[in-house]
Amino acid sequence: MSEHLLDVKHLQTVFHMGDGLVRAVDDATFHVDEGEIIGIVGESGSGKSVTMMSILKLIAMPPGEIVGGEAIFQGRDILKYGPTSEEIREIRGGGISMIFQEPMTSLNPVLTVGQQIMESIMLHLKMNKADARKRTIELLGQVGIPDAESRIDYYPTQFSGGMRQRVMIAMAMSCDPKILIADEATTALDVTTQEQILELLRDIVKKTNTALIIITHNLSIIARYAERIYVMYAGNIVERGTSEELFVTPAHPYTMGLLRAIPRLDSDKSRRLVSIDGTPPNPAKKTGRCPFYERCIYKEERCDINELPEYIEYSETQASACRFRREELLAKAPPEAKEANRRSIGKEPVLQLKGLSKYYPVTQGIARRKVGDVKALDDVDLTIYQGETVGLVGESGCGKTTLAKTVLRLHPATGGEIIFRGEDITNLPERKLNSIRRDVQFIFQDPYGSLDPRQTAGSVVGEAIKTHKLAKDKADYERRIDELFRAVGLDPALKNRAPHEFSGGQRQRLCIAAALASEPKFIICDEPISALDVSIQAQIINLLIDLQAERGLTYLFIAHDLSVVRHISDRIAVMYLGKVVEISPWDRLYENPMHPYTRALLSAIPIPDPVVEKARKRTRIEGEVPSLINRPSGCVFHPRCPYATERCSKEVPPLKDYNGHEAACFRIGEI
Amino acid sequence: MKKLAKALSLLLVVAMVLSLAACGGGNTVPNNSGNNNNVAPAEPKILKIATVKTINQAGFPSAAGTDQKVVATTVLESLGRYDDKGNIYGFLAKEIITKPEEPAIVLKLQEGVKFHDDTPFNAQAVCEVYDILKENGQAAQFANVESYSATGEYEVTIKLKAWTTDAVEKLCIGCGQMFSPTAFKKNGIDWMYTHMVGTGAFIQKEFTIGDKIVCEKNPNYWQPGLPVIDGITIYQFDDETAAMNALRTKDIRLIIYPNMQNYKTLLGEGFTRYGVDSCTGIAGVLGMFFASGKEGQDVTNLKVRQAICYAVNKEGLANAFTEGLGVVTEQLGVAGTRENNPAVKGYPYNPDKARELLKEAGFTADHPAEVTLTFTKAYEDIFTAVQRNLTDVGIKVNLDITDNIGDKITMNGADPYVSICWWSAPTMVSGWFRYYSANPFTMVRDCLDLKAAGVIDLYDKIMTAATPEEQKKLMDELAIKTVDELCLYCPFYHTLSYYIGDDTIINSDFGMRGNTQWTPETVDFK
Amino acid sequence: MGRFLLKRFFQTILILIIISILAFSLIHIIPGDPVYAMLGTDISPEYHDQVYHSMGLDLPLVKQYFRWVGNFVQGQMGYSYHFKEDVSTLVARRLPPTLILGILSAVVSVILGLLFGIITAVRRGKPIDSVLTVLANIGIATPIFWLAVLLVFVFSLRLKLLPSWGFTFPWVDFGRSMKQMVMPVLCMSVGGIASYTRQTRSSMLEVIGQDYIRTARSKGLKESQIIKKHAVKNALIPILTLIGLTLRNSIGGSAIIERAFNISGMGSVMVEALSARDYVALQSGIVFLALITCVCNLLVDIAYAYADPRIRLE
Repeated sequence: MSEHLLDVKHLQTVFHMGDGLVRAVDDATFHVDEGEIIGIVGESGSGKSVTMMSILKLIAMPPGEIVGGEAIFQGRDILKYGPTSEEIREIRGGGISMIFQEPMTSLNPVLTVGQQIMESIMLHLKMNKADARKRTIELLGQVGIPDAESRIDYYPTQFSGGMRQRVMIAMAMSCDPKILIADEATTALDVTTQEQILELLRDIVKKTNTALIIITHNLSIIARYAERIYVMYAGNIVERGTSEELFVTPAHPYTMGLLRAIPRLDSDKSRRLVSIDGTPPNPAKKTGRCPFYERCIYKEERCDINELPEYIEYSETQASACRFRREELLAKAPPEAKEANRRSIGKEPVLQLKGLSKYYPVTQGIARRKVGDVKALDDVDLTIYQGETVGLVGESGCGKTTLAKTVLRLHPATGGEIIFRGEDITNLPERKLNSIRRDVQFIFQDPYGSLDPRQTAGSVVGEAIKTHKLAKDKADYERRIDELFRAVGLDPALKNRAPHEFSGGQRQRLCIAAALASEPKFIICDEPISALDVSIQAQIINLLIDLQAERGLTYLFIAHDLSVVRHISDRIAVMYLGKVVEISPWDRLYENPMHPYTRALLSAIPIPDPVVEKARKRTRIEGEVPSLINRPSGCVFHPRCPYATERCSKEVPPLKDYNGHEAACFRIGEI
Repeated sequence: MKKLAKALSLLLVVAMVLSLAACGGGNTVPNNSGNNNNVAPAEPKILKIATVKTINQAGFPSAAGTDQKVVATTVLESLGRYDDKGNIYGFLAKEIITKPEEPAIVLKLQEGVKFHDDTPFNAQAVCEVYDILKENGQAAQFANVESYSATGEYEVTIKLKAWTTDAVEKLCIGCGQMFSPTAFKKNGIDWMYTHMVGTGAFIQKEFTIGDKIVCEKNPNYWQPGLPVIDGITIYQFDDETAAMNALRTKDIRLIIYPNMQNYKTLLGEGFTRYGVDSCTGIAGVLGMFFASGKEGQDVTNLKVRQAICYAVNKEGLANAFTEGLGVVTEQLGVAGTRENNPAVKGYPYNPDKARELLKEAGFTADHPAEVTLTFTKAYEDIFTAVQRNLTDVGIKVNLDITDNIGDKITMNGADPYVSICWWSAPTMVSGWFRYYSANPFTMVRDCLDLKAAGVIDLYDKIMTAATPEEQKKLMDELAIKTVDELCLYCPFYHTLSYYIGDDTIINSDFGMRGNTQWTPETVDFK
Repeated sequence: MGRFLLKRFFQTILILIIISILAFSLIHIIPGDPVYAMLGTDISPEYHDQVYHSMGLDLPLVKQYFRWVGNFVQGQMGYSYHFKEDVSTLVARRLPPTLILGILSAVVSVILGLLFGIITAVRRGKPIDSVLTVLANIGIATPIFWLAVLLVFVFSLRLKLLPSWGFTFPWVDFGRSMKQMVMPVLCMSVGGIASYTRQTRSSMLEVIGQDYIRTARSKGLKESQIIKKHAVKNALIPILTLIGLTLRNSIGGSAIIERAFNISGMGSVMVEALSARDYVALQSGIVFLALITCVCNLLVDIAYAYADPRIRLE
């Protein structure tokens, strides 16, 4: 076997917690070669970050402890070095460097970015201050920070999220490391920014022949960028292989399940997503048996032993930790994707927004003089029909949540009308809002924060029943709660438990049950699945779709993830900086996006299939979403638009109807 | 880190500048006079004294209260002084000649004496001081004065409207403290409160209220060879414990008037009591007067009054409220003073006798004698104890706590006293004269007919007695009459002024009768 | 940052105006005639009228206020009938000792508190952490006057090392001044040291858990460098706001210490003025303390803005 740049074998890391041993990493074996891009994919808690941190001895010890394995880097086992030893510090930053998830918190706020990068250079490359500064300016230029000469003395707060991540990359690359680890480096960024950063990373490592390890939960990203992939589940690497192998011929039931569970930009919408039932095992209660056993649809009796399955090698690169060969699994009749529930869309508009605006005043000085407006919503027209699902997409700050809150009358609109079932509720007095509130419900993004921890699950769900006096008596109340629990796929026996005893997916089910309790007609779902793990997301999407069919619900589905929106929506509205730039039926939007922003948004989203991915034609845009305060004049998108003309910067393009497909752009015919 | 350090030091510098700016003319304020005497080559002998009361006025227009007196007498001297029996002798006025027949007083002044501002002390100055005092709140003291004038460079003749025995005390001691009239004219009254310019052995250098009073030796003192020490500094302490600690570490030598408990503590640690002197006119008797603004009260009955006097456990009160420092007395003229009449029998504690007297007076358990004790809040504890004493013998006692006892006694207030008032009185009868300028026994008002009882007459005779001998005889008579015969008041005890200090100033006669040039040469100032 | 400071500056002015109004109205809220309340009822009516007039009490309220403020700004704070001198000279004499002690104790508490806080955070769980943490808890619970008594007992009465009272300016007699200040400053800073230790410890621990510390570690920096360069500065920012409070507390609370060590400072002036009902001195004292507090807070705000680029660059 050839010498690898980094060869990790049987790494095992545990945390000694108060209530026992948490086996965060059970058995991680992987390697990376020079100049190679590998991906490690797994859900939260799968141990992918801990694996990387263990190698660099960056986990807190105690409570963490590396109990086994070795990590050979350039011929030396670096696991043997103490966490503060000279040798490991030499490797950190110098040999292996890392980029972390949160660009907002990963840079020291009180030091200039120059200081933070130079510090590393002076330490590892033994340069003097002047040289280090020169190099830093070069690096900042390389990662695409304009005007690096002066920006070197800026503090992290003066950079946007994407820019900060560029700074992180410059810092990580500053000492010519052999390996760059990007630990969920783009997860917190907007879709278009995420693409830019990943492209930059790829370009830079290819240019310098640095190995890149991408750690992510996002299969699509891996498909686009990684050459080889390791799939981690519950502290184990369950499958490895090249991206082609994994996406075309996955061999582990978990990998197979994941691929079936995620909605894709190019998938067939008429079929339901096949979710992986259950939740990942609690790492504190592992028995040593195949970690996927409980959720595996192929499991047999012989899987139920306290011993990890051996790897089955399919090629030099692909191997899977399953007792069954791929062919055996396929022979076992894969779960048939069911037809999605059919439903009809009415002609009655449930909600009509006419020229809806929401401005926040900008004040200045001691006297709080108003100097302008932040136009969070600017002249939004939107109609949602009975039984329909309208997807609302856009990057952060585009006004999605403001729209939802304004519709719910959680804050007053600045202008325009909100017509709910034929009634103008824009200025309806508070006391008359009660019936509207009964008909319009809301599901939040964060299932942790939106449940009162002091109530039982049952009373959380039953609250609306009490508020709107929907139950005849105590028995009726209990019956309704049980019904709601069953409707969202929860065991009614759980209703006396506290919300924190539920897992994330179950909590979101509780939220949905609570929203359903008042028998609403219309539900606004604000990023309902973005806080959930990949394998859980499909469960919730399916639930929402089923409930809609059963109860004739109308959804406004807000998300930044275009693949999810595509899967669930009938029509999709794209927002950018408080304006709707495009509305269209879902199929036409994806087939023929009209607005340049929609195009960019779509092409920024990778398809989890390397073959398809390589064949795609992509539109890339520069820059990041500007702040609402510095809203561009004319077409709000023009500074980033590759097709912008003089006119775009002066006039606001109106939303024009192109045969049921509306878009706000002057150049639709030409591009 | 560097920037932070810079910011911090900036902060510090700004703050320092601020504090310096706040000092303003900080250097003009003498702040080096008291504490750093160690640096001087020949170590000056400075006596450091602590006081725990705020002295915000000394010597002008007159020194009232213990602390003020101690401060005033270091700088200011008076025309006359008391001897150890309470007799007045001439001091700055080396001779005080009384002429009851004219009536007039002639003062022969000490010659060659100068005020600290170098102006001469002479007859002219005395007259000017009188002028100033008369116009500034002391007019009452001059009510009986017809005129005064310089009848020589060192002779002042005071003509009186009528002869009274208290005239000498009023003019030579009460208004006898001599300050430089030139200084007064130059600086005005507000300045005078904190600036003493006298003839004494020490010169006031600094007087900052709430802080300290610094006095330095007067090199040109008129009594050659005095004073023996180089200065006196009186520090004001807010906290007595701090003062006690300073005494223990020999940072100070003496505490004026500590509270009784601390005094006892220090005494227990071996410190020495100073200033036991009944004749300074400082000590006070605490007791109560039988008085009534209404007729027919039970206290109009002599037997009731006597019963009350027998019922009060004076010894007990003195022990409980003065840590044993109080000395029980049966008359206003306490033992050791000229006014004291040893023949007075008084009413030693005897509850049985009290009960007997009440019975004789016709009071029973069903129909008890009833009195009201009127006093101010500060004396609540003592009079609650008195109430208990009286209740024990079957007297019904009401308590009347008032804000202004003075109004009740002097009958200025609309609400007259009912039965009994307390009053703390100077030890000397002459002190009474000075304070009221009227017969104090008129307080009894409706208790009995004073005129018929002969008290008025007797008092008037004392006031106009020509010689001290004659006055003494009459005062003895008055004491017997007001105590044993008529039982007009019930004194409890008197507490003498007491200072506590270490033994380095022993035998110095400190605080005795206004000695300012005191201190023997043996004082150890190490 | 300019805007931030300007805002703070105007806020400070506003606060001072409000406090000056409160202090001014003090003399008018007390029941009865202020002159009689101050000087007692024994004074002659003529004198009363004279004082009444000289204090301007016969003017309309608004006019009185502006007269008072105008005089104050010009350094004429009126005449104190208790202290028998102009309040401005009184303050000029009594404020410096308080300021010096206050600043010194603030400096001592900040330096020692930070030091202990950093040590305990870095050596978390080690014996020195436990010892210092316990001491800090004791320090917070220690009553100042009790500590003063204890210190005097040990160092003055038993060991005879330090003078038990008094105050000398350092420029008059440095050695003596230092000796006299040791115990007061210690007493005044014990609480500060203790709370700084605790605050710094928790602030440091929080910072050490931050992502950017992990970033710094991943760069291969030495642990000591990480603490010095990355952690301390961040941890100090929340502490900085406390410094203003400390200075205010030590100056405001100096009355106890001034009493215990018989130092004639501003604290005892306030207490004495209060008990003597000397409203003139009291009014000015209040405004002065408010002024110091505000200036401290302003300085802290400046330092805060300076230390934290997130505010500086706002």
